[in-house]
Amino acid sequence: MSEENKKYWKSLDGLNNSTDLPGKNHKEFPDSVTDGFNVESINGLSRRKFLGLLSVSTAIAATACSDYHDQKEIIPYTNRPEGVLPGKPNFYASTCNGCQEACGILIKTREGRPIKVDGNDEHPINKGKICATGQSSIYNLYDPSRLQNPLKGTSKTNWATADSEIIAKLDSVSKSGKKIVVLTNSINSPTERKMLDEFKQRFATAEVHAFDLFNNCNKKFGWFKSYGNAEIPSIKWDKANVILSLEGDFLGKEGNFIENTRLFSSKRDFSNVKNFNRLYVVEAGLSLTGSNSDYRMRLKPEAQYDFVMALLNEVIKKGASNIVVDSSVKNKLSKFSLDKIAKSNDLDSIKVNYLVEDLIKNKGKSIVYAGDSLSGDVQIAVNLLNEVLGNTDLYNYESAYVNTGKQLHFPQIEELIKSYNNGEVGAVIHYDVNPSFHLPKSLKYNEALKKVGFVISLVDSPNESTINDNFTLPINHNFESWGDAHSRKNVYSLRQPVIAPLFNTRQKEAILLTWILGSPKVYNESLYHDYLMESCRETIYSKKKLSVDFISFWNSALHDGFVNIESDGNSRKPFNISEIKIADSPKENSGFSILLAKDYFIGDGRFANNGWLQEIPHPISKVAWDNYAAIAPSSASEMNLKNGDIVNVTVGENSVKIPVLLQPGVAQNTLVIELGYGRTVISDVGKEVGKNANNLLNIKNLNSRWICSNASVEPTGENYKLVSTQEHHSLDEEFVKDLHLKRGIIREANLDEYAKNPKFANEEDIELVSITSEHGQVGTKWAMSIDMNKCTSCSVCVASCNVENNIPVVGKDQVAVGREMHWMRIDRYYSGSSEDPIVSNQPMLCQHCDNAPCENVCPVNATNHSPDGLNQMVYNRCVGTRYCGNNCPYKVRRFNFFNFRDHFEDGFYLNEVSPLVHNPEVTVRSRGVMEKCTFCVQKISEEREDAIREGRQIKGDNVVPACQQSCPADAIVFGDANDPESKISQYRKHELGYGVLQTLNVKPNVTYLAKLRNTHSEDI
Amino acid sequence: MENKTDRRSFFSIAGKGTIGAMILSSLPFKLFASNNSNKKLKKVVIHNQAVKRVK
Repeated sequence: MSEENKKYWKSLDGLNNSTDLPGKNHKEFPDSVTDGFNVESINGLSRRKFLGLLSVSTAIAATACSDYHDQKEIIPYTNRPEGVLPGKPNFYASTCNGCQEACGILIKTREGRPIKVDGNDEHPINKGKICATGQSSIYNLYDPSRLQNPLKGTSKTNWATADSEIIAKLDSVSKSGKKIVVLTNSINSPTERKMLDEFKQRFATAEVHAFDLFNNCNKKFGWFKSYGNAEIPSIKWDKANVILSLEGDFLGKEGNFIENTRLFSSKRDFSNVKNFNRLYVVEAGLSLTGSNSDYRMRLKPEAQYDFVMALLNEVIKKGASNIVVDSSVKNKLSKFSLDKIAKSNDLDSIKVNYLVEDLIKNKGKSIVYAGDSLSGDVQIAVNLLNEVLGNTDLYNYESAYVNTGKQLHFPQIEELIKSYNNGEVGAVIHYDVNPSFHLPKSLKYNEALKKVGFVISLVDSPNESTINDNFTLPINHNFESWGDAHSRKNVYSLRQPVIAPLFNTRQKEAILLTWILGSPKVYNESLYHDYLMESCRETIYSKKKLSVDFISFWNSALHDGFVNIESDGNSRKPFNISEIKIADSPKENSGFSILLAKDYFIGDGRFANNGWLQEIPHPISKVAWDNYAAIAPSSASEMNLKNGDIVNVTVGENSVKIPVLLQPGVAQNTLVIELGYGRTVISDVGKEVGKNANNLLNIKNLNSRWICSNASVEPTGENYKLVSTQEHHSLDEEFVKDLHLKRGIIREANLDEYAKNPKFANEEDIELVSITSEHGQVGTKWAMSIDMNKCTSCSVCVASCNVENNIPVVGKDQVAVGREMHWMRIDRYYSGSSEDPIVSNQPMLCQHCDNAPCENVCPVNATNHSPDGLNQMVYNRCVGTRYCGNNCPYKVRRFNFFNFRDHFEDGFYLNEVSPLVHNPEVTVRSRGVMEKCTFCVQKISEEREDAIREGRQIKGDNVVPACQQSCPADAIVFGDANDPESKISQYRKHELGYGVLQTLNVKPNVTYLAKLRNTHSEDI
Repeated sequence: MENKTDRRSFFSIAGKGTIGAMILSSLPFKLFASNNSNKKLKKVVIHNQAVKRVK
């Protein structure tokens, strides 16, 4: 069969040509293909219909779905309050109440919300600067743990009920003849004092007592004995060529240290080195003032009296006395030999001789200052020494401190507690005080309080004194309150509220006024405001005899924040030398000396709940979130103690367990302990932070409650982790002694060295060769300089930066692993011996390097350089490799390991008030993002906008970053380095100017001006 | 094993489910949601008697 005839078949039927085969009749499918397939039973939804419905639904959903990100309400500002422009801040003058100094402040608000506090630039005392506590006070306003409603016992009540019950009770107590005791802090408000007097008139058995944990009662006593009044003058530090400070931290915590720093630093101007002052400090612990001294000597606090008397004797012996000293006084002084005292206290005789020579050579232009903790006898001796040296011209009587009245001393407190126990007191009012915490447990204040029938506390948040309360009444924050202050003779300051109370709180003065007036119905929001106006009219306006009406005067006073008052004549009185009795020297101290000191930031403990303040490292030890007993390394090694070892400190019958910190510069066999820690009745932030050492307050020592002798210190064998930031962000890995000097991180010399070799600050630097051509910078180039002669390391810049730039509080555990978020830190270096070191401080922040090593390594270009010289950080590009932080030689970059505002620490910040603290001009950074100092780019942007609007060039001087704005010493200068007339361009070229680690050729734009110490030529 | 749901009924169910979900999502549940104070900020009121600094 041929190929053509070949036939293929699939089946026998096909072969046989059967007609039953499918397709035979041109049908594609056989007839049975639809068997069992009933079209009628198919679902009515056809494919077309389904797709149609699907698309319609999608359209509906797209228009109706809400955005899951939407959490806020957008409220149009169509009914904008008068004077509020969205995006533009308003400023209000007011007065700080963080301490007795009553500094003038300027509160910046945005859309009615206070966001930043700075000093009032027009205020004659603090002149535009405030302390770290004042800077951080904004945190207290938005503290979620503030009392929000009045409490009756522990239950919520309302004001009407509270007021009516309290008024009735006070009336009944008064009628029964029992006392009503009002405990307050020192009152520096004349209006408040007047109101308390009226309270005493209203309730005949009422007594008002003032008690502060720290005060200047010893100084007042000394002054009163010396001059017959208690109006202590301020000191003209800017006129003093030589300063001797005896246990007096006038640059850190005593008096108005902001004013003191400004005046002191004015005589540390490197452009006028002949005018430099010389600071001698004789102290037990290493204080901030001591760390800035030219000469420092360690001396136990009990030995200060002998030292001053010996100095007196020496000066009089050398015939240098400016006044006639009675021969009987001379004879008594003769038993105090300076050589003997120097030998027995291990003082450097060379330094002592320098001191005596300098004091005599600078008679009339020097000042001897005794710290507040020293006894009245030492204060009198120092007053006499100043008289002898003719230094009284440096007393500023025009700006003298106003006497705020008597304070309770421990014998009187014991009497008071006795009266509680005896049932003589029917009611106690704690007027914004916390005696249960401040008083030593041995006084048993709380137990006595239980015997008083009725206890009321007027406080901003629960504390140790409110646990026995019948009523706990919440009071306004300073920024929600009216008030006045008269702490210095020549200035009357006013306080005004910038925000209506956030919670159901009232001003404490208004609460008392309601009780005075006798009915809950009299209360209204303006009650104290009207009272204050009336008081101001009577005491201030009427005396000024102005031509303007009172309302204009009042508004002007509120605008300025203060009123200048003419001094009522020179209150200077002659020194009462006949009253001087030479006191006996203190007895031999066989044990440890204890010096109880105030903390630099949290005060007496009232700010313990302020996370910013807890987290700012201690200016000397750099410890955060704790207190400790500072001990000399040699004393510690004798007892085999290392950092964190817990010791039992016993004074008499009182003891406290506290960890030690080996602190170079502390006197032998001395412990220095800062109080205010160990709070137990407080919110989570401050709860049980540190140890409560108030038990060690010396009840028996009538001379000084803060100095204890013959204390025993016993190791317990336990250890406690103290967290210090000093070793974080070190600029080098291996420890080499005096590394900061060898690597040129710190450059300093004394004045003689500088005179011989003016270029010492840069002479060891190698010539840098660049392999690329220089990047010329046209236009504005931002740069900063920090003058190490003026910087005292007070850390106000750190606080200010924290507030301005929304720096989160991370807590002790995170600080322990080096995750603190401060953009600015103050590095503290020691040189010399570990027992008596020389201290060098250096603020460190992003250097905004021209050849920034961080910019080259970012894989996503999240950090780059702006045309005006800033090292920028683009947060939303950052993916968190941290390579930039690794490459930064200054270790100034901070990484957000957590979203600190979200679920960090059980969502502590997730409440309705904490987010209000944020500055809306600065991004709040999220987790996984690197951040660092931006040179306050928000302020640069503001200036740029103003310049564009006004059609002018950007002026570098108009941009004042937060750190510069707050520095009380004016150590920081910022501006346009390309402007030849700007200060910064001159400082960059100055022979004292250098860049830290500049030999790395990173070209930092922060210039440090080398420190000059005013020591003798043979010293460094 | 025989698939009980054929292709048409599967897509029918899926489509009806999708329509239902879209309609539900467009309903104003927020009106009935609990007031989460974490997401609301305290209202601030300016003190009307304060005198501001003119700069």
